[in-house]
Amino acid sequence: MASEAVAVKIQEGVAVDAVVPAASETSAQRKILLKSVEGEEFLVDELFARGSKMISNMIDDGFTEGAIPLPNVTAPVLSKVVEYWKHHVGKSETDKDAREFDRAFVKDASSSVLFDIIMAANYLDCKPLLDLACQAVADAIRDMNVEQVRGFFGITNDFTPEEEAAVLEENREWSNALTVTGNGQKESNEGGNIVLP
Amino acid sequence: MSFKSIVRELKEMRDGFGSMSRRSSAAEGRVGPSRSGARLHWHQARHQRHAPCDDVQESRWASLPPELLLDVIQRIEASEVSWPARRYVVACASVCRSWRHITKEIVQTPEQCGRITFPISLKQPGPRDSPIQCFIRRERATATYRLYLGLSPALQGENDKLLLAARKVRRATSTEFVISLSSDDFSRASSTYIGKLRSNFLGTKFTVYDSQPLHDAPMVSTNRSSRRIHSKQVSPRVPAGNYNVTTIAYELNVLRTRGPRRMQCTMHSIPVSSIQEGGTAPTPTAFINSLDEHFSSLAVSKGKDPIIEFSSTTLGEPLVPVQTSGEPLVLKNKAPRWHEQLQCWCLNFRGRVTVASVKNFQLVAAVDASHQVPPAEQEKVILQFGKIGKDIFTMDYRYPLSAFQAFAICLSSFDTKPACE
Repeated sequence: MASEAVAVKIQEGVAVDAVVPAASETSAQRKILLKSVEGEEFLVDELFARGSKMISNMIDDGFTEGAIPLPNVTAPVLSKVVEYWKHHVGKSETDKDAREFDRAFVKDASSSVLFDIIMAANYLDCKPLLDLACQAVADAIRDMNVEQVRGFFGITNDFTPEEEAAVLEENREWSNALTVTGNGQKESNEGGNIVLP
Repeated sequence: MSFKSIVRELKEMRDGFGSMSRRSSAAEGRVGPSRSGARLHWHQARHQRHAPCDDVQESRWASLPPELLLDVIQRIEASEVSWPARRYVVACASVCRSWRHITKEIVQTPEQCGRITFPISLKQPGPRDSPIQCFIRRERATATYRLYLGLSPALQGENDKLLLAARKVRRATSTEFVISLSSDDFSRASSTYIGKLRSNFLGTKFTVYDSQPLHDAPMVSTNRSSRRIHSKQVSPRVPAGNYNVTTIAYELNVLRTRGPRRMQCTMHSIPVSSIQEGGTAPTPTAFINSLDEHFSSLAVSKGKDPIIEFSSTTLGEPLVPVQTSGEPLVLKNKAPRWHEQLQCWCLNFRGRVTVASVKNFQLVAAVDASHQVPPAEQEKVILQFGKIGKDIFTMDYRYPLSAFQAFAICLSSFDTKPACE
């Protein structure tokens, strides 16, 4: 959930003018208003909001009054993205807290939330977060067998029967062709991860 | 990973609604701490709502933009560089047609990245800068020779990647080594048949036959994004045949048994131009009549369509050598130097060969000034073979040879008769 210290949800109807920062404030102190698709508003330090290249460009283009609408991002996802910015923006790449945050961030994400994060990071143009999420997907599917990958992505097997047979053979024979012991018995990883069921 | 446990649980459901404990089937390479506690609650709730196959959650991934799917597959390809983990990349190419297309586009040739990925990698030239290191294990009882990727046999319990296997078959007037992708199927009618090596009666001349003719014209450049020139699919379908790609000749040393023998390999399928400035070597992108040949024709391909002439053949009949444009590359073995103090012939194998044997050799290009081959290229040891233990030999090969050609040449070293030794 969004840290209350950083993003302050604002009730609908409150005059927006009251929270628009004065132009004389530095960007570190200035806050930007972001609006999720449901209309929820998040007040975020400008420094963090610039974690999104898209938002950063909008700010530079003079979009400083009112809320920046993000019609492709829901509130729960936006609050996660803000959390990410809070732990990464302004920090060095090797920051230990950031790394620890990443580990937990990805570990606890359900597949649905991860999908949302990827789409949001892509839309907002936040490359580090996109990299983190895509790497999490890559790590996950690496451990799946082919059938599981298809199920996960909702993919239909569109190989013809001949192609399917060739693909099966490639996986079974080529991928599992490993050391043969002296008596001719084939040893292969019985992981079952790669062989088609 | 949380997905891992989700997917695992779903699979268990498909497999028959087993318990929520970690799956008891074979251990995975990566095993993390059990996190099923937290997942349990969420998973059970979903289980009550709908059957796993209709899972609404998972089908959202079907709308992942292609450039992000590409990113994910690229990450897998970049992280799994060595075998056996490299098979995860091969698995990506097994999911569906678009995944296969994406994966095949991402994966580079051994020349470009130094990695072996798909079976076709065995027919593509090795890297230019440093060799791919393999070893060969000889099994005398069955006259079988197996080529593995790796520096030397791994410690017990680990798995070395088998690349090719060969079986020696003695005939009345010759010996043949049948080369296959499979270590127990040496039938020439099988889809695993790659080629063969045949010797003459005296064991002084050998011919390497490829099961498939040259398919692609040489690539225009080694740039990854360069367009590929595909030859039109030859019609009628190309039969599995035997295409003479290399001739190997052994000659007695003038000193007969007391000196090293001379070796010469004429690479009919590789032109001398391949080692000249800016040259390239033929690089097939797919086995003929394979599913990948169909896919590669889907890629944008323009350019000439060289039709390769050949006569139809029944299995086992040698054909006219496959001629590339220009003069074929000839390889010769590097002459050892006589070491006066040690009283033996020496070659610098840089630690990759440790047992003296007349079978050991290093092949370099046999060129003269007229070939205009840069000195650096002339110096390169293109193929090195030698003994490191009882029935264990190392084989290091590089551009412009492919693993198949290198293996075949090395096999000839096993069969030379006393006439050459």
